[in-house]
Amino acid sequence: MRFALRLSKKWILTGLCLASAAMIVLPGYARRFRHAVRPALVPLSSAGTHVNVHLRTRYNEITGRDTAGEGEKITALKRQIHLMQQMVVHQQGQIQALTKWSGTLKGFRCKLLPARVVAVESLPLRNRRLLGAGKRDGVEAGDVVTTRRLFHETPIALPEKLTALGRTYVVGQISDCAAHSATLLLATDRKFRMNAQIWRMVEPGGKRIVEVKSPGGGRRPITFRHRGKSPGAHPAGPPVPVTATGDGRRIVLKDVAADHGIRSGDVLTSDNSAGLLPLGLSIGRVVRVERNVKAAHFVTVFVEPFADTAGLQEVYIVLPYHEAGPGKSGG
Amino acid sequence: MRWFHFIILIFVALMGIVVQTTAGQLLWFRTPVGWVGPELLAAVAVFVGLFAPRATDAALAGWMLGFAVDMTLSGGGAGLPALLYAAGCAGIFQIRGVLFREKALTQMVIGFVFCVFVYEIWTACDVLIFGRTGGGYFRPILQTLGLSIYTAVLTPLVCAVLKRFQKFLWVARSSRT
Repeated sequence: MRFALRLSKKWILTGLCLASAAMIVLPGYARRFRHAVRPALVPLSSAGTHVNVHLRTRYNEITGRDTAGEGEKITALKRQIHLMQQMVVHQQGQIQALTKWSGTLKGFRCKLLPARVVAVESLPLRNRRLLGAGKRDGVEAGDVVTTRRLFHETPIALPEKLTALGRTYVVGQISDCAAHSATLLLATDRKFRMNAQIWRMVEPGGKRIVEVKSPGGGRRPITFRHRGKSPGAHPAGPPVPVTATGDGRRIVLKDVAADHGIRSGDVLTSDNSAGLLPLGLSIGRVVRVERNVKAAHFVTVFVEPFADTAGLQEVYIVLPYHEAGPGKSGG
Repeated sequence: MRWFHFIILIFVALMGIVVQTTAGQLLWFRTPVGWVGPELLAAVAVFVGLFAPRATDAALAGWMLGFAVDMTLSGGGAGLPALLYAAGCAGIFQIRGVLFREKALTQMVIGFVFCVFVYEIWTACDVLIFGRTGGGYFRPILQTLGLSIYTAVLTPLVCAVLKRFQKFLWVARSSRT
């Protein structure tokens, strides 16, 4: 009997190893299998994640990390101002386009789907999270995910009609989607890749020389000065289109032309030029610029995300609005 | 090792994976090469490899633990952790005759070697086979080394906890301590 049991264990082990080998060569089936297993883990993980975030928040409160408050609030307000400035620039561009009859004015319509981070990946080698929303909610791979933190959490008296000031930053993209769960690829993950824009900023009281394309096709330097109307930094000149990737720790922008003059403090936002994303979704701030050793005309830019990904719990998934699409709706 | 013991081991793996995907994040810290944190199921696998009664049992239990890790990962390389865990546990079982397996230092070294074996291969496959990554090839390797060291430090602790519940997992006589 013992011999038979031992033999059967060997056969079972062989079968399981063959199944694993099959999962390696048939990744599509492996992905479906993972999707099928997830619902068993989600309820337990969800509770654990809540405990984790709760403990982290309380720890920050006790150690005073969360009351770094005033400076942070000012920074957040400056970002709001930056957002408004982008909107002004965008509106000016649209007015110009309408005036010339060269385009049509189309506002971006989207649905923000609230979702919750239910688990992290079991290894810290990848920066990914499991979200408690999936295909049944209209989520698809490629959808952008933002933070869902409100600015009025702190005890500040807000004007009556102002209901919520959001701190909405892009945290990543959906990479894989099951029926009731989805994998969020954080912006710092090594597989993350997204089109974005860098806004060159000019600080209060400062000026900045930016090379701008002239109508003739060449480039000419233009000096931008801070207008002094607000305490925050202003964007100087048009944004620079870039491709954002993650390196496991930060966001990296490779092979950016050095003559754009990107420097620390500049702001990275989502690229809304194709009309696929709402305006002004901030991603992060430039912290370092390195000249390429092999190509002197290019630089590598390192960006620190605005969002605190370690304590991420509540997020919005940005679902683009389709008129006829049955899967996605809203406005 | 009876099937009842495997059911208990599945429960241990499930609990381990839930802790690792939730509260385990509290143990992570940020380094210049990325986040580094421990792999608790690797420590359990070391315990299984060192104290399981038979090689088949060790490999089977290792496969279960690797499969549990696998189910919480995303992207390419599905199936690989389970195979590597099974091979790692069987390997530890084969060499344990020449080890002082009750010693904390032994458990640390084995924990480190196990993690390097499993996760360096997994990372190499992820980087070389399953697609383009940012940050080059050197950073993920360093990050995996960090994970291995961190796990090695915690392995004796996990082994000490599991040793107390060993009678629920299997009955084994230690030949060399």
